[in-house]
Amino acid sequence: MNFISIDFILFVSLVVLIYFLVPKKLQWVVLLAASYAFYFITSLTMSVFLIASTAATFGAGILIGKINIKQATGSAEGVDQPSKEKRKQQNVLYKRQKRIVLLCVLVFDFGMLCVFKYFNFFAANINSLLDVISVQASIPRLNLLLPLGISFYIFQSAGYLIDVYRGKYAPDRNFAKYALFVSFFPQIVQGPIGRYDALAHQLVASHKFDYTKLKHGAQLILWGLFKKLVIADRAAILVNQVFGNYGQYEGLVVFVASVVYCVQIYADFSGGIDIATGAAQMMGIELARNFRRPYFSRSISEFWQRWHITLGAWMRDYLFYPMCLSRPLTGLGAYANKKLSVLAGKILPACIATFVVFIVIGIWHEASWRYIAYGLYNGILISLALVFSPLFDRVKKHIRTQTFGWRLFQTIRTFLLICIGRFFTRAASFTMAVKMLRVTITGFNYYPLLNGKLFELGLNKINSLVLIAGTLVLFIVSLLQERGVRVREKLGEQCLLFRWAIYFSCIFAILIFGIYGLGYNASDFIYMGF
Amino acid sequence: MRKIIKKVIKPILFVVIFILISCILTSIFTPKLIDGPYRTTKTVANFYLEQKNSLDVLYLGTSLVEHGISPFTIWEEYGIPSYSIATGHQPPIISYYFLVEALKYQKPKVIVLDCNIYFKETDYDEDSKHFRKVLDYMPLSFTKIQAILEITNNSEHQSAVDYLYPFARYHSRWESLTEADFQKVTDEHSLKGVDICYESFAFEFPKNYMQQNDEEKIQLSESGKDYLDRIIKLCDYNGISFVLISMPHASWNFQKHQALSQTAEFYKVPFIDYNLQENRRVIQFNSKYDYYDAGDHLNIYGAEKVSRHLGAYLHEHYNLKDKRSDPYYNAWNNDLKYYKELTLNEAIP
Repeated sequence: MNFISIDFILFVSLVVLIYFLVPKKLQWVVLLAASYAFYFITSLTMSVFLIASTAATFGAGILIGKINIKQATGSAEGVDQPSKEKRKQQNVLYKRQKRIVLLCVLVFDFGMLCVFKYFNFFAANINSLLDVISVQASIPRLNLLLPLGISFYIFQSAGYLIDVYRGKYAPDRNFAKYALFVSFFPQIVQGPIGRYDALAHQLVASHKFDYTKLKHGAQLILWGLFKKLVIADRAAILVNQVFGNYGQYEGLVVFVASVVYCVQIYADFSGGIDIATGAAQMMGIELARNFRRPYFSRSISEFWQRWHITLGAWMRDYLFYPMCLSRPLTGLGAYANKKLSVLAGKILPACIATFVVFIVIGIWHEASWRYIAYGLYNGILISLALVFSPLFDRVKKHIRTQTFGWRLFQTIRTFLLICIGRFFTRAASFTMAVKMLRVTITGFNYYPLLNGKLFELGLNKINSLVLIAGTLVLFIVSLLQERGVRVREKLGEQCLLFRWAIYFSCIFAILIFGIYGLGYNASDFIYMGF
Repeated sequence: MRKIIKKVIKPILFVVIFILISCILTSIFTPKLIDGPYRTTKTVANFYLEQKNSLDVLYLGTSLVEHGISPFTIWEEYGIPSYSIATGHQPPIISYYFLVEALKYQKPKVIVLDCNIYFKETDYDEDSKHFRKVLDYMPLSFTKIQAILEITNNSEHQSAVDYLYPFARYHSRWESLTEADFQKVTDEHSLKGVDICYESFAFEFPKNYMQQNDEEKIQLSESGKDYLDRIIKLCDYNGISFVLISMPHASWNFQKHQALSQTAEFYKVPFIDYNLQENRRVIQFNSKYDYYDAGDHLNIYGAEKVSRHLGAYLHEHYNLKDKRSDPYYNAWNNDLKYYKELTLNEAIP
C-alpha cells in the first residue's frame, strides 16, 4: 500500500477509529493486527522475513536476558556463592555465551539484509574482476525483490538486541508485543528507526482519545502530503529531465538541478516521515524525530545530526562509539599519541570510525559505487574538519563568528557541499556523477538565467512558480520552527477563520497542485472534442 | 452542553465547507464542450431540464447523430417531441447506460440508434474521455455507479474515485483553465441535442460506394454486439420500439450495411441506411453542400434533410401524436422560434 494514496488514508482512518472504540487493554492488539494487515496487503510473501527476524531477535533477547540474570545472581540454583576467581571465570563464560548468541542472530539478520541488498552488487563486481583477469566463470545475478522495510526493521530489532546484550533493559517477554515494536506500520516503510526503550512502552500502553493530538496528527499528515505531492513530485520532473539528459545542458542548469534535487529529496523523505509521525500521533504515539531543518546546518557534521537523525544515532550508538572504544582503535590512538601528537591520538580513531560509519551509511542506502563515493565524500569532509579544526579555530579568532553574516556563510557553504554530494546519490552511476560535476564547472555560464532555459526543463514557468512558492512556504515554516515557534500549537491559538483558511488552503493546494492522478500519466488522456 | 455542540458542529461545518468548495472546483475544472462544433456537454446537461415524460423519441449515437438529426425539424413538421442524447464518439456502453438513465426521466415510444461505432472494440482506457463526456454531467445514481464499476473493472488505469470525485482526474487542468470553464452549461433555449454547423466542405462519394462486392464479411465488435443486445432488450422490456439507422458517412461500406441488415433482421427491427443510394436520392442528399467536414459530419442543411425523412418515417410507422397545440409543449414552440432564428439566418448555398 502506497503511503501516498486514498487507500492509506482510509486505512489509517479505520485503524484510528477502531483504536479508540476497543477497550483500552486491546488497543495494542489493534496496532499489531493493523501492522501485519498492512504488511500482508503490501507484501504477503516477504512477510516471512519480517517474522523470521522478529522471532530470531526475540528468542536471542530472551536467551541473553537469562544469561544476564545468571550473571547478576552469580550462581545456579541451590549452589553456594562461588569464589572471586570462579566468579570471574563464570563472567567470562557468560559474556562469551551472550556474544555467541548476539553474533549468531546479528549474522542471521544482517545476512538476510546483505543477501537481498548486496548479493548482486558483489556478484557484478566479482564478475568484472574475473573478466579483467580473463577467468571464464561468473556468478549469476539473483532476481531478488527487496522485502518492504527490511533496511529499517533489521536495524531496529538489532538495536534492541544489542541494548539487551549491554544490559540496558530487560528483554521483552511477550512475543506479540515485541512483534508490534518491530512491525509498527507507520514506520516500517521508511522509518524513523525506533529505540525499544522510547517506543515499545508507548505502543503497548493504553491511550485516551485526545482531540488535540488527533488534530495535530492529521495536520502533520496534511503537511507531509503537501511536501510530497506539491513540492517533491513537482521538483522530480525537473530533476529527472536534467539528470536523464545532462549532456544537453550547461553547467548552471546541471547545478540548478542538483539544488532542486536537494529540495526534492528533503521534501519527499521528510514528507513521508511526517505522514508516518502524524498517523502515529493521532493515536497518541510519538515516533522519534528524523529531521530537524537539515539545510540550516552550519557544518556537514551538524547536517548529519539533523538529517535522517535516527539512522545517524543508530550508527553512533552501535557502530561509531563501539569502534572508537574498541581495542584496535584505542591502541592506535595511544600509538598516534606517542608517535605523532596528542591531537593525532585524539582524532585518528575518530576519523577512521567516521570513515567506516559513512561508508556503511552509504551502502545502507544502496549497494553501488556512487553511494560508497557519497559515504566517502561525507567521511572525508567531516574528517578534514576534525583534522583542520585547530587551524580553523586560529583563523576564526580573527572573524566575528557571532554575526548573522558569518552564520549565513556557514549555512550556504554547507548547503553547497551537500549539493555536490547529491550528484552521487542522484546520478545514475559514479562515472556519470563525476561527468556531471565536471560539466557544472567547465560548462558554467549565466545564459540560462537570461534566456528562459530554466523554464524548459520539464517544468514550464507557472509550474516553476508553484514549485518556488511551495519551497518558500516550506522555508518560512522551517524558519519559524528554527526560531522555536511550535507551528501547530501557534496555529491552534489563532482565530477560527484564520485557522480554517490555512487548513483549506493547504488541502486545496494539495488537491489542485499535487502531482497525482491520471492527468500526469505518460498516456495522458487529454480531453478534446471528437 | 455548549462544548459538546461545538465539538460536533465544528467538524460537520468543516466537512460541509469542504464539500461546497469541492463542488465549485469540480464544476470549474470538469471540461466542458459547450462551444464550437461540439456541444456534447450542453446535450447532456440540458436533457435533465426537459419536462418529465415529455419526449416521445430519443436518438442515440455518436457525433454523426449530434450533427445529423435535428429534433426541431421533426417537431416543426410532425409535432413529435424528441431529443438527441447522442454524444461525441458515444461508446456502446454509454449508449446503454445513458438510455437506462434517460428512462428514469422520460417515457419515449421510439429509440433511434446509429451504430457506426459498434464495429470498433471499446478501449476502456483510451475511450475514457468519451465515457466522461456523459458521466461527468450525470448526477450520482445507482445507474451511474453501475456504469463506473463496469468501466473500471475493464480498465487498467482508472479507478472509481476518478469518476466519483472528478476533481481528482481534472485537477491538473489548473494551468490550462479558460473562460469556457467558468460558464454555465445549461441553456435558456435548449436545442434538444443538435449541434448546428453552417459551413460546407464538399465531398464526393466514390463511384463504387456501397456497391455489392465479394470482400470479406465484417462483424460488430464484441462490446458492440453485447450492448446493442442489452439496448434492444431494454427497449423490449419497456415496450419501446427500436429503429436502427446509419447516417451518411464516408467510412461506411457494403459490408457494414450487410452486417447491420442481418442484425436488424435477427432482432426484427427496421434499419434505415442513409448511405444507400436510393435513400440519398429520396432525401435529395447533396454531398457537395450537406457536409460540414467533407464526408464526416453533416451541417444543418444535411441534418434537416435526414430529419425530415426520419420524421416522416416515425410519423407513418408509429402512433406518435402531433403535440404542437398541446399546452404542455408551449416551451417547445418558443424554443423552435429560437432554433429558426439560428438556422434561417444562414442562406442555403
